[in-house]
Amino acid sequence: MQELEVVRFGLLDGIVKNSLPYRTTWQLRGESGTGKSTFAFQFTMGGLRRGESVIYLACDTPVRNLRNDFTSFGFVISQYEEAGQLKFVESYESEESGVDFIKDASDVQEFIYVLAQLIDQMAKPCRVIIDSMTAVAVNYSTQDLVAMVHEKNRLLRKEGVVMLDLYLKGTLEETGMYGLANAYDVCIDLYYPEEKGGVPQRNMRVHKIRSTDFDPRPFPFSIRTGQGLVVDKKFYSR
Amino acid sequence: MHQILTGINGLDVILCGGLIPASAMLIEGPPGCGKTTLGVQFIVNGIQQGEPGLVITFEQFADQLYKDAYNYGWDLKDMERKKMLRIICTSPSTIKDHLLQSEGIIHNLINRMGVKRVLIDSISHFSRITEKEGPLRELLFSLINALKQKNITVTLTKEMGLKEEPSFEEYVVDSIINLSYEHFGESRTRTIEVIKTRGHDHISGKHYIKFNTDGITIYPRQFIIEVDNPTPFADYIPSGISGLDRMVGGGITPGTSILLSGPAGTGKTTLAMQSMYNSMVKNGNKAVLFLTGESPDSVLRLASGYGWDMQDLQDKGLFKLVYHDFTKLNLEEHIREIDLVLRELKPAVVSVDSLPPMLHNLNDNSKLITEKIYQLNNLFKAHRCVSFLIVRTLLGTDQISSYGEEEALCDGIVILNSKKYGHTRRRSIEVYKLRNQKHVTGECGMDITDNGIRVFYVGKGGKK
Repeated sequence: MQELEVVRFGLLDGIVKNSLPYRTTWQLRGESGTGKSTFAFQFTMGGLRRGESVIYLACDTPVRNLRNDFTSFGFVISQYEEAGQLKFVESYESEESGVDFIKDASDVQEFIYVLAQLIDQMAKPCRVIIDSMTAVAVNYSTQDLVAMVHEKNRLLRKEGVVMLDLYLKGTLEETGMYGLANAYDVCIDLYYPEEKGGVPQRNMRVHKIRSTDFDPRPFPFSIRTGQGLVVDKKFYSR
Repeated sequence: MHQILTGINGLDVILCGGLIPASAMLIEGPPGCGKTTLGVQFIVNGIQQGEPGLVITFEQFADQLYKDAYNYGWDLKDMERKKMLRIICTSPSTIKDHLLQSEGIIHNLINRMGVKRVLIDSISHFSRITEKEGPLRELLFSLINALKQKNITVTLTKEMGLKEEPSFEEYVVDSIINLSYEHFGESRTRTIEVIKTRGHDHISGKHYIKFNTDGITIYPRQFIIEVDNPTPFADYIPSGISGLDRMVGGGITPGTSILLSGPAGTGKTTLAMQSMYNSMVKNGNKAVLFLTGESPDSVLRLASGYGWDMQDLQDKGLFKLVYHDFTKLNLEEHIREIDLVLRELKPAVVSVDSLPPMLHNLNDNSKLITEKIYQLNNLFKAHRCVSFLIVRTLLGTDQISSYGEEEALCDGIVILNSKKYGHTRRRSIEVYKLRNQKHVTGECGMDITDNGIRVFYVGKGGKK
């Protein structure tokens, strides 16, 4: 497999046995405050630092807030944005913010079209992050959402493109979420395990990776400024 | 079969090539409908082709005839001076005597000048000799035969009121042309109809005629469109709207007529304009907009709102806007004009915006409407244009066309629509039909932005 065809993402090293190719779709689920956006920032920076391009679709929060969030986590993005390597798209605010936008995120076809146009324009490899699908999902019945995501992933899963969709856990019916997982090649959960006293420790668990082996056990992680999620990969070997 | 051209614009088309030499043609009709003009034009055109002519009139003094003809630019006096024409103002009985004598003055004149065409204006006056049908018929038959024997083609005019039973003259002549008045909407126009042509075919039905500065022009109802060396466009003409082009495999094949239908405000004009604009700017093609519904100002304003400078393209000779107030539009003339514009500009894309106003004066005559749409389609096809025929349908109905005829006649149908979802209204586009081209079926979302229409189709469905 050629170097370019592999998504480099140190966070999963050791948990996933082999490298993950592009042309894959990733699902990241997590409860509120478990670090989904931080994961996404890290995924963004990982790509940018390797010279890849990134499309970041902000559905939950205005882009101007997102830029601040990147900064407060110690990630400097301005040079990437200026160089056109990082492109923010918004479905949250109106067109006044000066970034590309999706007028009506509840319109599947427009949603897919705008992303497809941007993906075509960006250099490859390209990482596409939707933060988060939950905001889009509220417009649909579970059944329609599953159909929409399948359609989106079918049409946008292209050479040199990896997509990461964020979902807030608990807002969608669990039965629907199983159907949804079929649309993804990689599924990762972030969560707080049941508290047994002391400081709650966040956990990450990979529960699906298509066509490669992985460690399905939960791994505790912490969040550190400038680094993002730091997974305790030696948790089980200690 | 050899035929001689009358040289009258459009008449040779409906006569399928002209008249047979040494035949007799009767031009009948009510007063003022152009019988004499048509007859004189036949003579003048003959003279211009080197065939001397003779006009025998029982009605007018020569001066009046000279004056009338001069209005059309025919200098009859000059033609007489050049011995190409002779006008004889006389009485029916004189003519009878002279023509039926094999050595009469008129025979001598014909022989001397080498006359090839004769106009007798009008034979109604022969009733002054006798009113009995038998002798009249015999007289006319003998006159015509005397001229035919000299290898002369004769035109005879006859006054006619309301349509009567066929008269004896109609059996004596070889071809009959009927001129009359017709009401189209509120306006009255002159029409011509070929009733019979012995020995050759003709295009039946009534055809519109007009008096132009150079005489009478006939606008054949089913004129045969022949375009020599039509422009070799690319295999397909893209609309430049990426989603739409993907739906149809890259673009529309040249010579395809598309019915662009949808309720008001769904973007029909915009879609057609955008396709024309893109074709001009991106592919270097030319485009023509035939506008009858809206005013040119409002359409150009609409275009400039999207940043499409049609005026500039017009100045560069790439774009042409042909506007007519539909209440005053004469369709036959307009179709002829369309043909001329297409011949001159050779556009790749044309838009008719919109079809119902263009057909307004047909008074909902469904047979005529079908015929005209068929004719328009054939015209655009002959010129290898991608054509958009715009029709408005009613919101919330399954109606596709205005008349229920267009959908069968056009090669393709693109339906624009809009539906309410909660508080928002979403637009959609559907390629309902596209002959000989693979296309994606079903509705697809679209919207209209500051830069024009976007069609939200990202698949590869229309790949050929």
